[in-house]
Amino acid sequence: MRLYGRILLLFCMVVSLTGCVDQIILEDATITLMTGIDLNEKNELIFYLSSPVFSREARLNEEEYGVKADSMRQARGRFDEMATALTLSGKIQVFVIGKKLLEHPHWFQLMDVMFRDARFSVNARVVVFDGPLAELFAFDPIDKPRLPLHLTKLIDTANQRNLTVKTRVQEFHRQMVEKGETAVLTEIKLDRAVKIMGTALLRHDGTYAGLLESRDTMLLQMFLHEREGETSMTIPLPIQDDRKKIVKDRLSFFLRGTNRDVKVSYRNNQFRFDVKLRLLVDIAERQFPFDMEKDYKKMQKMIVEELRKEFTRLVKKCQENGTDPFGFGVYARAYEYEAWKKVQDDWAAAFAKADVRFVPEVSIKSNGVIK
Amino acid sequence: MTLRGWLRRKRVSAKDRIQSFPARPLSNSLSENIAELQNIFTLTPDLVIRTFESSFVEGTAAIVYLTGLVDKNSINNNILRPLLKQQARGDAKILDRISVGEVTVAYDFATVEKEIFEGSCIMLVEGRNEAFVLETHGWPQRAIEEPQLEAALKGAHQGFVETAIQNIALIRRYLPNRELKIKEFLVGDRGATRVSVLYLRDVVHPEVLQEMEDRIKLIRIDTILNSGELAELIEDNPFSPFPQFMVTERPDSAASHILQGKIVVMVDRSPSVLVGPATFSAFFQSVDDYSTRWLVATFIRMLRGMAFLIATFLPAVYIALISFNYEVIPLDLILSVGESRERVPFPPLLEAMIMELTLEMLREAGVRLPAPIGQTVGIVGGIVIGQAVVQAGVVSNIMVIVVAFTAISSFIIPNSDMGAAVRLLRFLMMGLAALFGIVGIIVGLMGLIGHLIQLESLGVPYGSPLAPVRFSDWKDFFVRLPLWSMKDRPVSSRVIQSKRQGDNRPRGDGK
Repeated sequence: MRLYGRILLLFCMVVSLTGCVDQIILEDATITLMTGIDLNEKNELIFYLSSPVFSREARLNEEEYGVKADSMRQARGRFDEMATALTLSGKIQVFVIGKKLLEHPHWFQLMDVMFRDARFSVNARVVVFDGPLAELFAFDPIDKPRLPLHLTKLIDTANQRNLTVKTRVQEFHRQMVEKGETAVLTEIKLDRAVKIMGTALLRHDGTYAGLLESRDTMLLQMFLHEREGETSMTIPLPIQDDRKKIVKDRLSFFLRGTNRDVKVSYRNNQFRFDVKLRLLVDIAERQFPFDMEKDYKKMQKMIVEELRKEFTRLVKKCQENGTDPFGFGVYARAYEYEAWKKVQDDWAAAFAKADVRFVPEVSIKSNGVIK
Repeated sequence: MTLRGWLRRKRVSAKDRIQSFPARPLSNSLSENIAELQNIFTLTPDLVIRTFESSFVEGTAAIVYLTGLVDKNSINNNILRPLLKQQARGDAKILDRISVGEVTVAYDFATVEKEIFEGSCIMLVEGRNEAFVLETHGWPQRAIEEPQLEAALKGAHQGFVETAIQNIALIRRYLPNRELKIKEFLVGDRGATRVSVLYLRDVVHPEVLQEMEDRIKLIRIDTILNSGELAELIEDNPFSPFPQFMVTERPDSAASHILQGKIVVMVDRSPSVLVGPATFSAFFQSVDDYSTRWLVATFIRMLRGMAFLIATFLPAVYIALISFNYEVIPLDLILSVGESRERVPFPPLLEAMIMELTLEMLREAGVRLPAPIGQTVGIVGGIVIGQAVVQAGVVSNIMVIVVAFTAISSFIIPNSDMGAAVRLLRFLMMGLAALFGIVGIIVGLMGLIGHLIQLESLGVPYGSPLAPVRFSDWKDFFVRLPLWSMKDRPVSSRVIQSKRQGDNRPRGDGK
């Protein structure tokens, strides 16, 4: 009898579980792989969706829709009216924002449902598209796989070479909410193909502030993530300043290891950041004659000087834009809390006044397999 | 123990149906005795009663036997020939002339009847109220072969046969030790089956042994045909899907278990023996593990563990992922799954059920067919499963892969009983997955673990050494550490003498 009792108990426990109601069989689902928000000419919100179609009878393997709606949830209803099956948000790979939308502050509220609804994928890559989104969603090149897959791969591999950042929805949320940092997103553009433009800088209110090209992105990534992926930089070295040469004096190097150290101080109403970057580099390419054995110290010095210049220029650009993609504010909060507290609600302004000094230290670890 | 009380009640009522003969003593008169025997053995054409006169007895004597069960050479040469041909000199006794090894004396008809049924030859002599029971077993027998279900790569290639005496001999060859004790019980009222319990007296815990004996003694039944029947009558939890006794046909495996402090129960007329107390982990071990190198054996053990999980959960996971938790599937896979699912007209549960049942049918069809036809079934099934079903759009490619994986996995488990249990559990898990997705699978897993923890075999925890945790036994669990490191017998089998070897660690040339 005890056994039957147990079976009964187990049955009751199983029955009281939630289930069945949220059952969606794969073929009854329209799995959204890419979604986007944009503004049209009349400044109305348009939501886009791209989803794979699994049918041998369909000639295209993808369906795209754009609907007018006031919110993402409302847009889902509109999509369901058109799409083959129920639209699901759990597998979104790419979340595209039209550049036009970024002109308006506080658009970030639109993304609320993505965080509130647990079934929403927070792993989607957030991307800024330079141009009308309709073009991107209609783009269907014959030599590429489905667009969402193509974009996913494009962003991931570009990020591996540090040509752009990879900001997922979850990370984007952090960057937006964090007071001491501003968000950075991947920016793409449609030419004949989809092209990675670099990294879009966003201000704290979500408006577009500027573009970092791949070179600056590398510097930013070097600072943010030390050594992640592969970083290869090419810098001009002023050995002889001969502008007519076809083969220019260039030096490329790989980053083997990085180590950053930020010191914060606050004096005279001004933050000061001393950033020490220790870089271990491998020379990958050298297009000019140089006696490495004798003068490698000189070479290190030249690289240091070039990097310092680049970093200073990058920081200045950000300060002028009113952005802080480096997250210096986080350091300020950690080390100079009293001073930070006063400026925390307008960190960008405080950062614009800050004095940031880069002191790179370069050590050449390898010269390649030839002399 | 309420369950056993329930069983006990049933068994008592079972006894009432069977006529029991009172133990009537033999009489002095030969003719009366023969008449009585003929009365007992009515309609028994294979009963032979031969009366003869011999100079060794005053008056007539008779031998009685069942013709198929005895060794005729032995009766002709060792019993009849000396008694008929030779002349008595002096006061030689009749028994001195009979050259048969085992001779006992019986005084009542019940014993005589039982012995006749067991293949003995009964000699009755005029004027004596006793019967000589001459051991002349000689029933039809099979030669010793390698067991088919448990073929070993490196182990011995001998398997048990249908005669307990021979089986005991096979074990004795491995354990020529005086502590190897054999207790015999007769079970069954119609066909008394000799059930032998083998164990090492100084190793087995007396309580475990007592438990086993008690359970065997409590059985009241017509007869036991197979050790599987016995297992069902004495196991701890009759409703569990898991086998609670190891069944093996291998003498080396049985001997190894005896050495580990377990009890082997041998049923006469059955070529497989029961080993108890069994633990869950023991079903994933094979004799080959100990004859291959330990690294290899460890790898294979882990493979089996993985196979268990795959065989139990893979179809369920498939169903859960397709119908609830598609988010978990990697992007590239979800596209190919989606493409292959698109043509399938059935919901995932039905699709999986169709394929799993097809597989089970193929297996069952192949089991009992002779090898040539079995192959045909395999080929037809292979083509049906592998290609046609997918091309016709009845099931998806991925489902075929899932089914193939589960099939292979379930056959990796070395014990066929456990393999069957796993195949059964799979359907339960599939049902749960279809109802509740991954949550359902987790619930099923928890239930399974809970059941394994509460299960016992002969009062010894079935989940040991994992639950309760017996770290010292983990040397021979997921991994099989080198033999020299397993100095003690497993704690899980509740031994009273744990040391099994000294320090045998090889040290190479140095010392």
